[in-house]
Amino acid sequence: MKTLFSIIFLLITSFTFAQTTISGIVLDEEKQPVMGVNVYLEGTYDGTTTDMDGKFSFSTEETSTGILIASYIGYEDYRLESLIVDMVGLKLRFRESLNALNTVVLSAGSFSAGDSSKASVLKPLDIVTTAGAVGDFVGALQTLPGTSNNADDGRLFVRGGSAEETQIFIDGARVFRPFTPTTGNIPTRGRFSPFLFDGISFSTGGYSAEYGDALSSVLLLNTNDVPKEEKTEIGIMSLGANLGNTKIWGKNSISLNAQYINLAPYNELVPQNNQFEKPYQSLNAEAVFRHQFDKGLFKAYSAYSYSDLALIQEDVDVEEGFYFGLRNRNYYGNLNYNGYLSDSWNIETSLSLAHDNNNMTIETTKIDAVENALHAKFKLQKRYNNYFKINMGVEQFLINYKEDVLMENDTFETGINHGITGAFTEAEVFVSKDLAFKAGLRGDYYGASDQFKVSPRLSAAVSINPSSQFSLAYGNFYQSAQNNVQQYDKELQPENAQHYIANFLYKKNDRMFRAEAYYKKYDQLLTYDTTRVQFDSYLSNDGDGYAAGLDLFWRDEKSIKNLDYWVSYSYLDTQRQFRNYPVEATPSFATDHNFSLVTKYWIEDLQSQIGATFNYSSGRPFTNANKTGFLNDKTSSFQSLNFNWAYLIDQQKILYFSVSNVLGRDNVFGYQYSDTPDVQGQFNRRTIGQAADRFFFVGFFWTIGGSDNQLDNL
Amino acid sequence: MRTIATTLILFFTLTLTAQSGYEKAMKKGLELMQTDLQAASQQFERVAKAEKENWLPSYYAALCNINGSWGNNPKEQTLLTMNKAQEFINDAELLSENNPEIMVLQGMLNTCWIQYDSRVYGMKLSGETNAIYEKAIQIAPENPRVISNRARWLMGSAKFFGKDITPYCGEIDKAITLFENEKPTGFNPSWGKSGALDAKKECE
Repeated sequence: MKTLFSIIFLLITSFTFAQTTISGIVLDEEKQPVMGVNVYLEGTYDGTTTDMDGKFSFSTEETSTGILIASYIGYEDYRLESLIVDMVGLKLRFRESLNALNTVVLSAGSFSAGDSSKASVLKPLDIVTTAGAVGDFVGALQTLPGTSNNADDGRLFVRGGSAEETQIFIDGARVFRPFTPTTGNIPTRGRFSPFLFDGISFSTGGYSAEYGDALSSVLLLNTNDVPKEEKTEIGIMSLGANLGNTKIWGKNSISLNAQYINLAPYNELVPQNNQFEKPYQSLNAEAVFRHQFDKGLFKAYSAYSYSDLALIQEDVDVEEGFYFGLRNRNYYGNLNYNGYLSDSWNIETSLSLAHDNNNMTIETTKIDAVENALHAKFKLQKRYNNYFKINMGVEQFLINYKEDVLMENDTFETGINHGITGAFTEAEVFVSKDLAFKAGLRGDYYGASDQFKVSPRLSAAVSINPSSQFSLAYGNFYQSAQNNVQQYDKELQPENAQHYIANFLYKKNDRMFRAEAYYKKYDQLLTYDTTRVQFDSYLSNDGDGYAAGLDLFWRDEKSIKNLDYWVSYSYLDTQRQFRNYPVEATPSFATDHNFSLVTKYWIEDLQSQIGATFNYSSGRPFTNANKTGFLNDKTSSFQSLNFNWAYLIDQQKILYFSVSNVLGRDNVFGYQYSDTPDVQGQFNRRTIGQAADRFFFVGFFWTIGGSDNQLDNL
Repeated sequence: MRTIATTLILFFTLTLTAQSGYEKAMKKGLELMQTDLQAASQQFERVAKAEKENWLPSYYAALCNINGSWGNNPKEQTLLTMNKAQEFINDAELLSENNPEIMVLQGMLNTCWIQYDSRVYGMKLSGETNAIYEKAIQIAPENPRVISNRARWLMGSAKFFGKDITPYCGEIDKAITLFENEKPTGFNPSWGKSGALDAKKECE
């Protein structure tokens, strides 16, 4: 009995004695008390919530040491490991955590689509619902400021740069031939289905040190992560058909997409300005396989594309024109693994392989070009905390290019094998949620010309209030010459550009304003002394130039109910001496003023979204042979009003209709002048106009599987 | 003999105290849910940190944050609350795989995201949400929360497309009957009847 008493007594005393009170106050960075903070001892039920004065006090039976945690959403967790008895009168300093809405973004130069961050200008649906874009993601990007509308080409022309100056990456690896080749005034389209990509980030300058061998711009596409539902998608279009399927098993999934387009029936119905011998047809097949590992995600993307067309190319000097035929086969594969090595280390490796076979026939001349290319990249990221990160990586490009020209029974063979080796490192520092810096450095060894180039990249951003911020960027950029040029002169050096960018961003309540001024200095641009690059051209790096301008963007989803619109305006002042230019001049692809208005209106009663887009570009420079000088005249302006209508029949079916250039404006892209003057001493000219006055598109899309929402395909 | 008895009694008392510690903490959390979602969430968070093998504290912490993210909070606050809810759902899922109760929470949280920014998340999450509810109903065809929340989600979509919602009213009625017959066991989820009754009003 005595024993029992003593035990109980001991127990009670130890209980009473062990009741320790933990107390203190939680303050933020401005020393203001924080209310509602969860303060507790890890591994116990003991804890409380701070009061209005940020104070807390609770008792615990724990003795010896413990870990005190203070956590509250919007703040970084606070951990204190110490003796319980010392946890009295504590002063805990709380640090606000960084998140997508409260933190400054390094926005100079870049646009992103598909997230809720401050810098995001486009929503995922915009890529396919912008009138005039007709499901081509590049079409939607052309409504952003900083791009010059070249409706006869279809590729991206950024800030006075040629189309080749924009490089495209999928899951971090370079795409070597992103566009199907075309000719004359027939615009090309991206080879890739917009539905397979989740995040799109488009930079018009000043981009990260991670991206090399790109002079003006990069477009980064990320394939969708793990899908959550299986589905089959069927599309029937006025131009062809589309079939897609997604399967999921265990930790694996695969998405397939195939599309066949043939313009022959369409050309029968709608008169074309070109005389087609064989209307454009293409077959694109894509597959994305994903496997979820415990600590990362593996993705394999693969795409095959075939296209051909033939037409009679008009020529001012050849009355009957001449035959032009084109056939292209392209394979692109990309393997990517992205995962964690530990809590703070992240690894990303990617490998892309490309094979492109292009056969061109011009009258009796045949040009066959084969390109095999590889890009391997290895990247590590170390995250010290939310405020400090370091990226580093190495990459290798290998290119094998061969060109056979068959001319009146003679064959000329040329080609080049070359490589580029790059390494980069970049630090991202957030001093606070209102001030951030990024500093990077990359080095590239260009094997063909035996040149080593160093490119520093810097950017900074500061917020002046929760909705506005300024940011600046500087960078030095290099890009090697195109393969069909470099093959004639290995010594050609990479071209160079320096970007200086100042950006202002305002975003509040679904309204956004963005203004960006830039200056870009070009150096070591390619020059030659013949009409086009050929084996006997004198090639050198004597060219230079500049581009300066202002880009404005305004988007408003709020002011008018159910209306979403954006307005872009770009002013561009650029001159360069490159290619075979005798003097410094504004290239024909660079227009002084570009304007776009994109509107989308949702009509609830009709379950329809109607959209209209208006594009305007001031006249393009061309050389008027009847006047003296070079690029001495300008065409009339380009204007196009586009319209689209998407009708949601139900959750599985959608009907889509669009017309480009509704008003049928006769846009002129340039003129071809005769080589010889007529009897009056005048040079005759041929107008290079649009492929067709208007473009009609009708499509029916059906998703089977689950009870899927057709908004996905809108 | 006496010593053994003493030890046994002591042992039981101790375990009982430990048991009731968890029970007390959970009860307190459930009581707080009626008045203060944030305090309730924090209470469950503390329990979750102490109960490393039990999915229920994280489940309730997630539920508090989901319910707390509806309404007219500032956008930033809503975003943080939703992220917090997702963390708790992930924690709960790690402890209890293929649990239809947790799937319901994920479906509800997706709906919050879609409300938050429909142009971004409507496209991303609507298919996924359908898939989650379909999976949940396959596993638990007689669970009133699964039936009722799935039906409410489908009613929302139908309304969006201007379709008839009556096909789902039968489901709501079925859920209400099941709610009425539901016998709560321990701290297992037993909420959801009032939501079903609200949905029923729309049917009438």
